[in-house]
Amino acid sequence: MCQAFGSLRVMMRVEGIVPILVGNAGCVYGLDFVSHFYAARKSVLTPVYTAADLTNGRIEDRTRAAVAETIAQFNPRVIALITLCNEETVGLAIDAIAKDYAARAKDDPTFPLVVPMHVPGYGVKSHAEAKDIAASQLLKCLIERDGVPPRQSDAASTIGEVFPADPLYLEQLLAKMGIRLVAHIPSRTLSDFRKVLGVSVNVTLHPFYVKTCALLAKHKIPSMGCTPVGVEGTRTWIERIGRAFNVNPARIEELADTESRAVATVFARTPIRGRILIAGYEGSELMVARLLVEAGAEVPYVSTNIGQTPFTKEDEAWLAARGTTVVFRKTFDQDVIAVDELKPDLVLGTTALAAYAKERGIPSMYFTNIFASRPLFLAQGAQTIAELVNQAIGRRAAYQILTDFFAAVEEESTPATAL
Amino acid sequence: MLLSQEVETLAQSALRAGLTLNVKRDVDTSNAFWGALFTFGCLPDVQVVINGPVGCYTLPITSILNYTDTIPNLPNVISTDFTEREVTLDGTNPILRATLEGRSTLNAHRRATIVLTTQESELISTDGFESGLSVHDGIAQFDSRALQDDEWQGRESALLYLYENREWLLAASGYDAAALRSAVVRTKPRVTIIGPTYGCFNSYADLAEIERLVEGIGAEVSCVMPFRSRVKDLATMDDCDACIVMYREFGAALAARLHKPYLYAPFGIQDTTAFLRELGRILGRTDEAEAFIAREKQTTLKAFWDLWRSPHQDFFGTSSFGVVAGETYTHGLRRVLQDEFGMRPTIVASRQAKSGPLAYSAIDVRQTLIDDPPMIMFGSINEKIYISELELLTSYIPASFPGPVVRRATGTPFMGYAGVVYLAQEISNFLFEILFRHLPVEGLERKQAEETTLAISEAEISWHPDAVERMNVVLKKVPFFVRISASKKLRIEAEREAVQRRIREVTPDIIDDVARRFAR
Repeated sequence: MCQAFGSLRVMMRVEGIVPILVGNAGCVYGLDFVSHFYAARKSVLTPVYTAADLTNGRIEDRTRAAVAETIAQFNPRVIALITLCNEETVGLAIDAIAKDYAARAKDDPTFPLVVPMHVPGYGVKSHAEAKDIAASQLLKCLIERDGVPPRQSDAASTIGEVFPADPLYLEQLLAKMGIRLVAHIPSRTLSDFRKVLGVSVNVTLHPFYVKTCALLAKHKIPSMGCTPVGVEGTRTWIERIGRAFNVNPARIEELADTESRAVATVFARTPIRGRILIAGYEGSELMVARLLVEAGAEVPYVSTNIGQTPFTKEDEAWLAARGTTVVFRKTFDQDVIAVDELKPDLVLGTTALAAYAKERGIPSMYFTNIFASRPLFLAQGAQTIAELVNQAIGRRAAYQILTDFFAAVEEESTPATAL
Repeated sequence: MLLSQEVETLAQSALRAGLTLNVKRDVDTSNAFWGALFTFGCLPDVQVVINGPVGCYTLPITSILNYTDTIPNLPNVISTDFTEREVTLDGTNPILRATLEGRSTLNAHRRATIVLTTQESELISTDGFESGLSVHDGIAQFDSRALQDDEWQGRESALLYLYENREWLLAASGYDAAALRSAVVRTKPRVTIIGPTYGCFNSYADLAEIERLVEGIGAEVSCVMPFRSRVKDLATMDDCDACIVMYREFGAALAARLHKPYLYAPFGIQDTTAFLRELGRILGRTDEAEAFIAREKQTTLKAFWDLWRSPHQDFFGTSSFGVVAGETYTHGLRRVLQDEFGMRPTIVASRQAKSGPLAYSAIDVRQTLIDDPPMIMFGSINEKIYISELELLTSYIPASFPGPVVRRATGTPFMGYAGVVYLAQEISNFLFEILFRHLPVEGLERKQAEETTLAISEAEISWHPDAVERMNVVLKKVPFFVRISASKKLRIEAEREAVQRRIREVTPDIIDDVARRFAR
């Protein structure tokens, strides 16, 4: 996936935000295509310009004209102004455009907030990091315009693209300790982004929101980086967040006990047997790996597209201690070698890797679609993942039958008269 | 400056510059790099190297190809994946050289290598292809003109390139071109089909139908370029008696370059019949063509003749359609649905038309959908989004990319005789579906009526004359054959809404609100 998709996707989902993608037709076509598949039934706008405009500097006029016309046509509350490779290369000044509108909005509050986002594919390293850029830029512009709301001592927030019901379970759990989970981002509403700025503690459920967490830290909002996944993860998570809000230690202990025991019960009832490889894009592979290991699976290899962050350290150490190789900023070749050498019973992979494994008769699924945003937390998550994985491992025969059937089809034929 | 003034000024300067719009909604056509990639990529023994950032590989190859062609991966495509360092410091030549050196270890079978420029490499590379390698090493650069041209122009250029450079491609792949040419055994007239590439909507089924027609008159499809082709086919692609160009968007330039008579793939009974006769004449198979047409009337087309005489054909004449697609599909669908089925078109728009009656913009499409919504809309996901945004009753049938749709079954052609039958079947089933949506559900209306009665108490609901007028306008947008049940439903719902708003009169805005709710 082109990295810029990360930003576009997050912005598309928010009500009231109109995305303007400044890019070549090839880039915009492709990014619109995937965002209309994954993100929202919403139009994406793009300035009309020619190749000559890129090099003679008129691209800025064109972009300004497009922004003005967008305001005239749609009058959105927020415009996400996103630039791609070409426009970054020629130095299109979207920050200046955003600043101009911010200045005007001081006199006339009906002007929308223009949020600039620089996500050239050659510069941003993964599409997860482009999500982080989108979230942090939106928060930054909201702070610049509206300031920071008053701090609420009992409020927490979560960040991460997780299964919609997962934050609800966390909300109920936190309520038992008198903590209010007031916002989850990225979300459908702008008000959730505003609410995050008024919490006492933020919890990052995905490890790549580094810029967003740094921005919050600047405004004295600490971010906690572990997740309530698996027996140990659930216990640690409850203990940490409880302590952060000065909850009665006995109460914390009671809840940590109940919840982690519930997860353990799931694993006892639904153990996983088999060797599983995980290869994904966004770093959530690490927590899924922890869950599978606790459930009894052997997970010798986990790879991801993101780099190490402060929030990946703990999971990495935990996995390393149990013999798992964790690869950051992985290449496709590394994943392929792992499949060849480790002979897994199940591969949770990228599209290309899943296809590679299926060709070899190994049950396989696309991690992003099937695992990345399923229930994962607490006992519900454990139950879902364990069932999903066991079913997949159990389908081996079906995969093998088709591999045998198509084995005679030669993927590559050598020229008969090859030299 | 006031915003309105600023917009006015910008609009004026844009008009002076020859632009009528500053912002485009939902780009529906990709660029020439994509077109070239989806053409060269079809030949499994050509090594394609994308000279671009990683997104130029992952977006078309690992994402979009899944949704257009259901292909998880193309093993013959690799990428330089250049980064900031190449853009700002090194240029792309060192990384391209490294990628090319690495390629031989990937697959020894692929020797002919085509390096494709991307929008980004074209923007930053002023020095061109200087990696020190040349055609003699089996490597050439294809300048895709990604910054200027669209995907259809890209496909056209790539096809011409394959033909014009066939000798080195054959030599680099280890073929003896002369031997391949003399090995051709002619038993029947030979036809080369030009056109199907990745990202061409429904091409698997349309190709199968065109091939069936060719074989039906006693000829053979000796080459399909670039689908189904390998490098060796480049040697004999021009050893044919006629060409069929599948799409008006591209391919004709190659057919002309082959110096063979060529025909466009046909839509509809009339054009398909004319096509078979003309192809028969060109190939010296006149009698076989007539015999095939006669046979088709008894077999493939029998389904259409039966359907034509059955009562639900009457629905066709009272139904409307819209189409927004590529040139080929727009013309073809209009020909079949309007001229042959007798349906009324509300919008017929071609992506390629820059002026004239078929030229359009997304804004025009949306406006027509509001003013005169068709019963069935053929289009891309863009039109599907407008239908859901506008909460219309219009049914949607995919007829174009962009949009994720699996079209790998060969039994769903829009072209040829089989296309006529498939379209008639699809439309009939959609009409049945629309009818079904309007049938009453046992108990449901009673339940709603009860709720209404309870809420109304003693009060009587009256209708404002404008509301009656408004209801007539709204009902005109409902498919004719379901208007009776729709009017009943609309009346009940409007009165309930008035009660809920605690007013005693149905007003025009209530009608609009209820009509919108219907559409969901």
